[in-house]
Amino acid sequence: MSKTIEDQVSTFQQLFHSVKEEVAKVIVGYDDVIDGVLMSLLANGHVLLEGVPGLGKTRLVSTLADVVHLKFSRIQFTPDLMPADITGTNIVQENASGERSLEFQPGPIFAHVILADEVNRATPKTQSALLEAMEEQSVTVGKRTYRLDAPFFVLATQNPLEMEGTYPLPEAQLDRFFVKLKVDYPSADSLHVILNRTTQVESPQVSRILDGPQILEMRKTVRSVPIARPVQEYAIRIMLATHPNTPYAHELTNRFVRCGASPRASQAMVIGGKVRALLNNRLYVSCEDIRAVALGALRHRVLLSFEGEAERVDPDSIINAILEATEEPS
Amino acid sequence: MPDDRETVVALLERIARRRRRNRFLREAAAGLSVLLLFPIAFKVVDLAVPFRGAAVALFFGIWLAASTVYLAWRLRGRESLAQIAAYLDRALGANDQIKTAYWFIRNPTPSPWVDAQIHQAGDRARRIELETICPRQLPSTSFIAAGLVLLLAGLNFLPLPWNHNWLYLQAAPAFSLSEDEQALVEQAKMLLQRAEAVQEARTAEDVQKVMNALEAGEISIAEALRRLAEIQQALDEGNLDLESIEHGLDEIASDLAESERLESVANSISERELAEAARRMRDIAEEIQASQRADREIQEKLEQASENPRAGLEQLAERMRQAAEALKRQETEGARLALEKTAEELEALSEKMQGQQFKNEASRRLQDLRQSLDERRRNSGGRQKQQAPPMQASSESAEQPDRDAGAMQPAPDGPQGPEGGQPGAPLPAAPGEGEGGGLFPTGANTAEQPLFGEPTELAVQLEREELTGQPQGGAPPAKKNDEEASRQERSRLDYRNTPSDLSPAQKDLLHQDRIPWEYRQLVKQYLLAIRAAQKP
Repeated sequence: MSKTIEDQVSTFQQLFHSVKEEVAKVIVGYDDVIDGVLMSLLANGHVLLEGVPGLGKTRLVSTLADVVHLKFSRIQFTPDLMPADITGTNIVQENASGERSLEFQPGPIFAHVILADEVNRATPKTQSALLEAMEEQSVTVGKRTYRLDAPFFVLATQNPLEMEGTYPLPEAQLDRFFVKLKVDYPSADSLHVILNRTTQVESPQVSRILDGPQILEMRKTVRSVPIARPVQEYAIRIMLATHPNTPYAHELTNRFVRCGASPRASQAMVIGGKVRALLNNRLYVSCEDIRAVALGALRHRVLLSFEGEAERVDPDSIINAILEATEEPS
Repeated sequence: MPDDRETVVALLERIARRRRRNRFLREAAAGLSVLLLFPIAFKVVDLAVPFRGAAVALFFGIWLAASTVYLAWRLRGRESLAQIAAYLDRALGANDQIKTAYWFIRNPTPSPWVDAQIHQAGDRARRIELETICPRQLPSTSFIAAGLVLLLAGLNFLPLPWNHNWLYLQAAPAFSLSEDEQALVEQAKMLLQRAEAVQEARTAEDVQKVMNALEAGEISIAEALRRLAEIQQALDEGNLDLESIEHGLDEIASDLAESERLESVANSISERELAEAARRMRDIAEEIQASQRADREIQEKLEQASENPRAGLEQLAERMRQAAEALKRQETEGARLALEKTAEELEALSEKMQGQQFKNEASRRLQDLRQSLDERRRNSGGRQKQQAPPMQASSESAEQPDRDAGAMQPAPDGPQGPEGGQPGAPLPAAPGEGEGGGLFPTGANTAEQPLFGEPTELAVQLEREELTGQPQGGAPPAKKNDEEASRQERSRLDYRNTPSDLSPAQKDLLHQDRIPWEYRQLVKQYLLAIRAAQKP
């Protein structure tokens, strides 16, 4: 291994683990979620966090923003939230001489880390404003387009229980999230730690580890990791296996899936695999890396059919079956 | 130090070779473990019903072809190096490191990351010990296969007389001679060879050819019997009349013994030491030439002996007559030459007699051999007839009317045999078939009647008796006898089902059917007749 690459990998791992340790000071029992969030951050993707209220989703995002030393915005999505409330708007400004002019007042989306809390409570129009910004990394107000500063990282949360008065995200918009992470209840041991940390006089303090340029550098490192065609083929086979009535389709896919994952899923698996490869001190992506990130990358992209919905099939079970059935190409 | 790429590829190739070898051993051993069961089963069957060479060769040809096809089918396909790389990754837990490196080696990409990855894979490949990651394997099934091979070989070496060792390319002949028959053949051959040394014949070779053809299944037993008969006939043709010669030699010896000087010659001739007689005759010839004086007594006795008219001694008599005439003319040199010729004739006669004796012995052996073969032929024919249904038996006899003529075929002219109609008397043998032994009584239905040997004394006596109340002399009507036998047999069977006070030994005595049912009525009538005759 050349010295440069070795240094890059070493630095990458060191920074990653440092950030993770800092976040773990506050967030307990969600190692997988933290890994997923950091992976998405380094893969230049956005995260959809799904979990019941009170599990620390918002706390996780705010802690992450503190650790990475980036500008953080929190947007609470409500039904009356307007797109301008997110993107910002032109307002009339009067200078000292009494002249009036329109001046763009940036909205909360003009930050590096955005927490879109309960994203499914806003109207589709408002959601679209956010999702356009996520995809294009720019905001158009009036006739002007404003570029968002990199790194731009959105963490959206949604509550799976309360469906009343919500606007479920359309499939096209779900596809724009790099991964969907499920936040489950912490274990009893983790709860003990959480209570100990949050019910005392002093709250845990985190240090700022990363800054924007470092994140951008780490993203560049991630993209440098090579992937062999057989491994890439494996990711493609998994993605194609989610498509019903195709040669690669799994039996469960044909039965319960209405629409399979898009090529973005393959991108997510490959880039996520690269992050995982670096974290495991490897200079290449393995099929194991693909398998490890496949669940988060695919679960929000696999759309169930009516039969699947009726039988309350969990997309995770379909994806796990696909992962078991798909052979690694040699 | 080899390049990282070369190291990775070389390692993969070595593992590929090792895996191919292991796979071949595994598949071959497993396949043979199954496939060897067939020749073993075939060999076991061969021990019960020996197969001929052609059948064995055909079986092994098919077996070899099938085995080859099976193994080729099992070993078809070849692992690519990419598959080997995947295997190696799994074995090492290398998370696709080798597979990825091999792919990048095959598909070069200008990237320091790729180079670094291949370098890591090369380092790893150098540390891999082939024996650890892919050891030479001797599959457990190979022991089974080896055991089966040993079993098959062992079966070939089973010390059974009817076992044929396929490893020595032995198989069952179409016809196998018994030990006695083999001994007869060997003796006949030996005698014929000794006779051939004298008479320059090829008879022994002919006998061996016939036996070889019979064992190879090229000719039937009947054909072998015919050829042996021809050989025997050829042996008997031009035979010396040994008895006549013996008598003639005795007479010559008697004539010569009257001369004092020829007495030693006469004694040797009497003792059938003709070579010694020839030597003494030469001594006398030398003496006559040395003395230059013809002995009148010798001349007379030679002349007397030369008048012997026995067949086979004409040449000897002629030589002695010439010697006598030479002596009579006082020609000592001529007498010596004539006596020398006489001595040579004695030696030649000695050889002829010896050869004839060998021929006679060989002929006797051949006769025994023919009888033995004929007996076996008839036995096998009888078994076939007993096993075959009546229709088949009749069709066979219809198809081969000539082959079974003689001993096997019933006489066509009614219940009486050719010599007065004794039941069970053998029919005359067919020409060249030796002495036939009748298996069936003449005129009887051979498929249904019991076998008979020589007539018993009782039967002979019964048939010769003139019995009162018997409509025809000899045997009673067969139909009546059959019904009576059936009725009595039924009664006997019923009786068996009733409780008896007899001991098992007594029952056994009662149940012995020593007198055939056909004759029981005769026995009864005979006993009644003699009782009536004894009363007065």
